[in-house]
Formats: sequence, C-alpha cells, structure tokens
Amino acid sequence: MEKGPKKNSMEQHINSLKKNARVAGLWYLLLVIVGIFGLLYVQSQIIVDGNAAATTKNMLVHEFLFRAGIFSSVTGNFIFLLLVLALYRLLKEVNGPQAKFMVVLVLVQVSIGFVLDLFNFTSLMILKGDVLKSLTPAQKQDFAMLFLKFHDYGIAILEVYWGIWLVPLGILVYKSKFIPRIIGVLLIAGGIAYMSNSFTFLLFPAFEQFVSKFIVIASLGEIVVMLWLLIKGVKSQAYKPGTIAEYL
Amino acid sequence: MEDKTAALKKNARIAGWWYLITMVPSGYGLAYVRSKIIVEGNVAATINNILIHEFLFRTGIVSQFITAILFVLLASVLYRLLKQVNESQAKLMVAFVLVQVPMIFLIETFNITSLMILKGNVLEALQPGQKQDLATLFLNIHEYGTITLKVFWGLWLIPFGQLVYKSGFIPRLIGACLIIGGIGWVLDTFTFVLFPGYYSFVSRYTVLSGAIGELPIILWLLIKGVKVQKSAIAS
Repeated sequence: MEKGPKKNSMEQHINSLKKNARVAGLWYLLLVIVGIFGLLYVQSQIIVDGNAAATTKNMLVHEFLFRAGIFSSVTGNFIFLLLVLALYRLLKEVNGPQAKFMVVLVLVQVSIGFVLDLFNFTSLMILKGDVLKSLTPAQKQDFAMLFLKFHDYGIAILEVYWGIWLVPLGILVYKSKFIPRIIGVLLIAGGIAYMSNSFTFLLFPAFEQFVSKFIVIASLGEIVVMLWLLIKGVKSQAYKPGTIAEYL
Repeated sequence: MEDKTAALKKNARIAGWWYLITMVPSGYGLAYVRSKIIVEGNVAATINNILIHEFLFRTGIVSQFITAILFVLLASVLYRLLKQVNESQAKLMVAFVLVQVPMIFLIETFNITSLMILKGNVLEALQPGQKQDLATLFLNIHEYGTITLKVFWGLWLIPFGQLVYKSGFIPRLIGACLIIGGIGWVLDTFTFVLFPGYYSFVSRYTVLSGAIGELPIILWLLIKGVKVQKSAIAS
C-alpha cells in the first residue's frame, strides 16, 4: 500500500529533474550558438587585428552582419539569464545557498554585457556619421576604434564573471550525484581558466598570448555539461533507495 | 480563505499604486523632459536647451534613478502577488527587472557626462564645435541605450503576462495584453538594431502596444483589486 505512492513520487521527481535538465541543456545550446555567432564568427569577419582601416571598412561593408552580432549579443544576455534560472531549478536541491550564489553571479553580469554592446553600436554610429560629424575621417576612425576597443577591454574583464559563476555550478554538479562528477571538475577548471585569462590581460599583458591558448579548457567544461544535459538529462540509476531518501 | 482573499486584494492594491507611482518619474523623464530638451536633428538647439534648462535636464536624470528604484519595489510587490501562480516564472520576471537597474544608472551617466562637457568641466582643450560634437555623442549613447533597454522593458512583461493569464484572479485578457506589450518592446529594439530603416515606422506601433499592454493591468489592480469569488474557488 505504502510503496506505490512513494515510488510514484520518486519517479515524478526524477522526471521533473530530467525535464529541468533538458530545458537547461536547450538554453545552454542556444547560448553557445549565439556566442559562437557573435563572438567568433562576426568578430572574425569584421576585425582585422592591428588594422583600423580594414576593420572600420568591414564594419561599413558588412553593416548588417555587424548589427546582427550586436543583436545576438543582446539576445545571448537574456538567454544567459534563462539558462541560470533553469540550472537553479535543477540544482537548488543539492545546495540552495550555493545555487542562489550562482544565480547572483550571472545577474550582475547581464548589465555589463549590455553596456559593452552599446559601445559597439556607438562605434558603428560614429562611422556612419550619425554623431561626431565635425571630425575628419581619420579622427572618426580613431573614435570608432576607441569604442570597439572599449568593448574588447570590457569583454576581457567580463571574463572574470564568465569564469566565476562556473565555480559554484561545478561544485553543485560535483555534489549532485545525478551528473557525473568529472563534469563538475571540468566546469571548475573552466572557471579558473576564464579568470586566469582575465587576470593575465589586466596584470601581465605580455603573457596574454600564451595564456589565451588555454581558453579551450574554459569552454570545454561548458560544452560537455551542455551536451550531457541535452542528451542524458540526469542519471536515473543514481537513485538508489538510500540516496533517494535525501532528496524527498 | 477569507484572510487569503483579503491579503490578495491588499497586495493587488499595493501593486497598483506602485505601478502608478513608477509611471510618474518614468514618464516625466522619458517624455516631458525629453520633449523640452531634445530637438530632433538640431544639435545646436538641443545643446542650447540643455544649458538654458540645466536644472530641468538634471531633474530628468534624477527621475530615472528614482524610476529604477521604484521599479525594483514594484517587481517585488508583483512577485508577492503572483508567486503562488508559478514561483519560477515569478522569479524570472523579477530577474528581468533587476538587471535593468544598473543599465539605467549607466545610461544616465552618459547624460551627466554630456552636460559636464558642455559646462566645460572636462575636455577643456577642445574647440566649442568639438565640445558640442562630443556632448552630442554622449547624449546619443544615452538614446541608443534607452532604445536597446526596451528589450528588457518587454521581456519582463512576458512572464508577468503569463502569470496573470494563469492566475485565475485577474482576467486573462489583461495577461494577453501584457504579453502583446512585451512582444512590442522586444520588436522595437530588434528593429532599431537590425533594420534601422523601418524603425520610425515600427516604433509608432510599439508605443501603442506598450500602452495597450500596461494600462489595463494598472487600472485593474487599482480599481478591482482581485476577483473575489474566483480566488476563493482557486484557493
């Protein structure tokens, strides 16, 4: 008599975990797509390192692409929010305060991302002659590059936050028992990699080239956890009678 | 049960008042001050207005700070009212409001910078023409920021509208209005960033959809509170 409903609620719990995991995985996937488009593809098409003339020319020639990059970044910003709230729903039962801490570390960076997008937009407007009309073309180019650089410096500093929220996420995943521990370790390593990248940029710019090679590590944890959430959801075999009691 | 309905009614009234109060500084800064200062397409006149009506311009900046604070309070009152419908959706609504606060502060910093340039507080070595140009640049960054921010004005209305729709104690139509208003503001930013050629056309409709979205809920919260019978059944 008693076993029936208990088992049902156990199953229900696993199903709701699975659903939450899938939702989180889907938001993560969208965030990765938007990030790759805005930060990698558009940047690679527009920015010519060390060549301001070519870069500003690209911005005007591929204006729509540049605008799409800005819009994808704005979109990525609020997808990030949706993602962290989905992760919160999934992981709050592991450790409530830690899950809240994770959410806060994302909340504070959304507005930073927004302001950086604004700098990119301003850069375009300067080139299009919407503002700073009295400047000579060379000066306009200078100011446009200044705002583009603001965006880049900002992103380099923002990477601290891209990293730091991965630490509570990694700890929660590690302790969760329904996502493999190794993924938690990868996430923490990724968090440290992002932060090191940012600190190197600020403190030891000479080593930036060297450290940025490890940025692959930074995204590795994120890609793995995204794939796990999308494909596997949560481990159902982890729910042995002993452990389930803790959750219910 | 009666206690619960009374509490619900009280929260609804409080939310209605906060909503109305939030609209006052917001409308003052974004509509009244703006209309007195900005002369579309005329940089010299705009700058002249800023210097002549300096105090008015400053009150416009302050009004946005106040709006930001009231907005947070409004979101938390609405959260209290609606969390019983769906807590994680209510949290999403609050999150979309919270992130706007630092954005508003930063955007206003650009307006202060613009004023300071004109008053000769910074960039003193520049020629008057160049000063005007840079002051306009910062004013424009403020404008771009305000329009881009509209995506968040819209985003919080979508979970808000869904919560109202599902609540059972506020008419569904009002929830639908909120969602329409929300989509309108999102489209506003979308058009501004991606298809600037259509912006002046689209923004006429999004202002309308914004009004359709938010006015009914304010009036309803203030006048009706919540539907008594229905909420009694729901609880």
